[in-house]
Amino acid sequence: MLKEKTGIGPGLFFMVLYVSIFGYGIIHAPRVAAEYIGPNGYWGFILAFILSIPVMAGIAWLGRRFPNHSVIEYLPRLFGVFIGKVLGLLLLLAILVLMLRTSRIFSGGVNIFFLRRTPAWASAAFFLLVSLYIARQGIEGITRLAAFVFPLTFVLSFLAILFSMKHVELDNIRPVFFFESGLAVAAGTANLFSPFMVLLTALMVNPYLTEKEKGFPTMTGAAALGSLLILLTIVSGIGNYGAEGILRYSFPVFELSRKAQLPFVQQSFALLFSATWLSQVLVATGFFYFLLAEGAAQWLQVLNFKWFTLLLLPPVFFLNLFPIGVVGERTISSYLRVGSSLFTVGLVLALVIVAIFRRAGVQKGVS
Amino acid sequence: MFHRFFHGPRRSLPLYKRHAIHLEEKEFTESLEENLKDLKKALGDPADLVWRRLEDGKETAAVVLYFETLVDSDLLGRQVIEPLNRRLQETKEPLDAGSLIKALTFPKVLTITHLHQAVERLLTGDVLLLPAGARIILSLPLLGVPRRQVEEAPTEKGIKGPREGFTETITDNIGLIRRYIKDPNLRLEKMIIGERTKTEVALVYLNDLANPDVVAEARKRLEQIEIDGILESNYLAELISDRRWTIFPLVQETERPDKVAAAILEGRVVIFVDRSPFTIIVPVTSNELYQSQVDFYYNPFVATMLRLTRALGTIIAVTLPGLYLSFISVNPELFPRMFIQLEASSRIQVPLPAALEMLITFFAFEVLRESSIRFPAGLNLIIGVGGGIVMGLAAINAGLVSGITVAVVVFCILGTFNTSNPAKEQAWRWVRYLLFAAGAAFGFMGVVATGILVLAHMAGLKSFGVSYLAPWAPPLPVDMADAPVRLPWWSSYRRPPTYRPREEDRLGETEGEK
Repeated sequence: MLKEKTGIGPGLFFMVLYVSIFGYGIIHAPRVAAEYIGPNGYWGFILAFILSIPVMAGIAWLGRRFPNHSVIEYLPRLFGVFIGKVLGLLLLLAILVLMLRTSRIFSGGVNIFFLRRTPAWASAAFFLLVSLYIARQGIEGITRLAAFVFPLTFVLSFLAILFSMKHVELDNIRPVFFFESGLAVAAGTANLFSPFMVLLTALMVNPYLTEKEKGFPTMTGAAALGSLLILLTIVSGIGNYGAEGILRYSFPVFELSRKAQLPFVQQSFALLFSATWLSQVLVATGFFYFLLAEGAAQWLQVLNFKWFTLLLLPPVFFLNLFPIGVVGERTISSYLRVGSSLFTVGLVLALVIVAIFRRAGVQKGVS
Repeated sequence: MFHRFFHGPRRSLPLYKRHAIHLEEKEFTESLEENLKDLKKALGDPADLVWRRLEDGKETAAVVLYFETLVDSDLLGRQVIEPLNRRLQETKEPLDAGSLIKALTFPKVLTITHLHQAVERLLTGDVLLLPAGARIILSLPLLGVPRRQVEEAPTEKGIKGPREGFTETITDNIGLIRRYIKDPNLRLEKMIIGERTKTEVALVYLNDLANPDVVAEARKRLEQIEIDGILESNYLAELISDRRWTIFPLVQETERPDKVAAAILEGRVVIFVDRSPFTIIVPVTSNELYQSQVDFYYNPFVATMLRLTRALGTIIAVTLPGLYLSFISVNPELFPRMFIQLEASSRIQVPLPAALEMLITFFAFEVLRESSIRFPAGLNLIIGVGGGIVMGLAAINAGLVSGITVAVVVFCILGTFNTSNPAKEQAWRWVRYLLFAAGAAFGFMGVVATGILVLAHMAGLKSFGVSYLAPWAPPLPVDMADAPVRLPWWSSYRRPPTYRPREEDRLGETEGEK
């Protein structure tokens, strides 16, 4: 079979990262920022973005150090087989939790706003099957899909956020430089850092990247663009409703997009925004599903990702519905956010330190 | 059965069938009677097979053998029988192969030494000339079956540009391309595919432009085909496509010679199939199927507007039924406010649920569309349009369907014809019903999710190694500029990099490419 190319270039990598960061990061960001920090909660997200830069540098460095391997494959080389396998499993579980959490938020949002009469299991099953199909297209198919949806979804999301800023009251986002406590800012930053957990996927995508030296600028660019939109949404959300006001809404971003009006047609942006968000979440979920399946195949060293997309479907579907009524989602979501942030930073830091000390992987000047 | 279901038809014929089709590779002898006997045995002496013995007074000097249903009898009489009889009357010397060729003054004479070759030539419409005492047979191409004249392509009509369309004769079709491209680099590779139909297939490309990998891959895929018959180009299109289970066309089929010439100049590979007016072009992208050759015959601004109309028209035609249904039945709160009263008043008398109402309307129009193809030409327009209008109005007046539903359905059915490729139009028909079902079940979000599902399927498709969603995914900025917009010729100095031609510069070599 004639191959177009073996891997994905920086453009495709950029788009799949942007789509994932935006899709997974935007929906609760204004609420979390207001809840932990207050009117100037946007600082928490700015700090989180700044913190993500060294993480991205670490990931890019690891990518150059282990150019042809996924993190699941080189973890046992760095930490020994047992610890390496345990860490690999933890990473896969983290991706699973990230995927499940966002799928739950997503299914919840859809059931509240769009499908009130449809049973939760039906809509969850439908969206999960769509994600499964996306995952089965493999990395090239998924990244191409991300590239295809990127232009339209970016423009529409940007316009929705921009038009929603028409009603921003500056008093709502003041004081700019006054913080009640450093601890609150730290807690907010830790919570708001969770969307950057998506960056960990780069550790698994690395073998597919055709231009590894462009890994860092690509990641930084995608994270910066996604972060810019999320930051604008936080500012607009708090600016529109105030720090206390925004806490009244379960899905403040949807409410915000309702405020934005399409010029001349007397119609809110909500419809377009929700369509773009849904598209991006589905692509991102498909991407994570693929990584989960591929990671499972690498971890167990059997079968391939296509088999694992099918094998993982029953547990993923079960876990997607299971926590309803058993575990309060609001109760654990804060722990999950902080936990994912700490795991992201901790794993990259540990990998870099151990790789340096053990002199593992490809080193400059050493043949 | 399991293998057949999942992997499609077997590519190679079972051995016991091969024996029935393939003839023995037997050499001819010097005995004319023995050669005739062998040929008779191989062909089974069908009723339209003519044997004509040419006598030199005492004995048979040669035998002319042909199928009267295939050859041009007038030409045969004038160019073969008459000169040979004259020759036999004028000189009494024995006829050998050399003197036969001299006597015939025929432009193309093939010399055949084996039985199977002779049978093959005879079946393709050649006249065989068997000289007595020779171990060879002469084959004269005198095919005389009726040919269709070159006419305007019915599926790809245009207001401007050439009015020529391909016919069912491969030589005529290749000739039409040679009239466009007078370049010595134009390569033509012929092969015979189909064990029983022996269909002539030609691979045409520009040697210095076409990507050699694509040419090699096309050649390889064609050579691998083993099938009893190729009756139309779609047989090949299905067999050489990168993926079998898809509704989207992964090759481009066209009836327009100018489109084929343009594709060859872009560095793409063209496959001609005898007995089919449709020619296959590979690779192809989804974007390509929205570009009509006529775009290049208009002013760039006009052509851009046409392209945008085509793309937007198709998007609306495919998504509108699903969106409309989701707005009126699942998510009425999302229905644009300005249409609410209009919609409510038009549906007030309709007894059917919205999904059923729309499905019945679609079905009625699909039936009308399908039957209108078979109406006699004169009645087509009258029954098609008249029947549609009368039936639509009657259904609205009876309160069976709402006026908006009929308007939506008619627009969608007409809108899908915006695509400049019939195969793509058929694919969108499928997608439209898929989105319709999703809209009925899961409302607006169902339409969006199913749209993403279709896009994911398209993102996973490739045509001869080229992404089906190119130049959008992967993003190729040079080609992207020429997708919704038709760039003027003075700025289109590069060939589309999507197809990875050997030379991207249209006028000369691109630096560092060779």
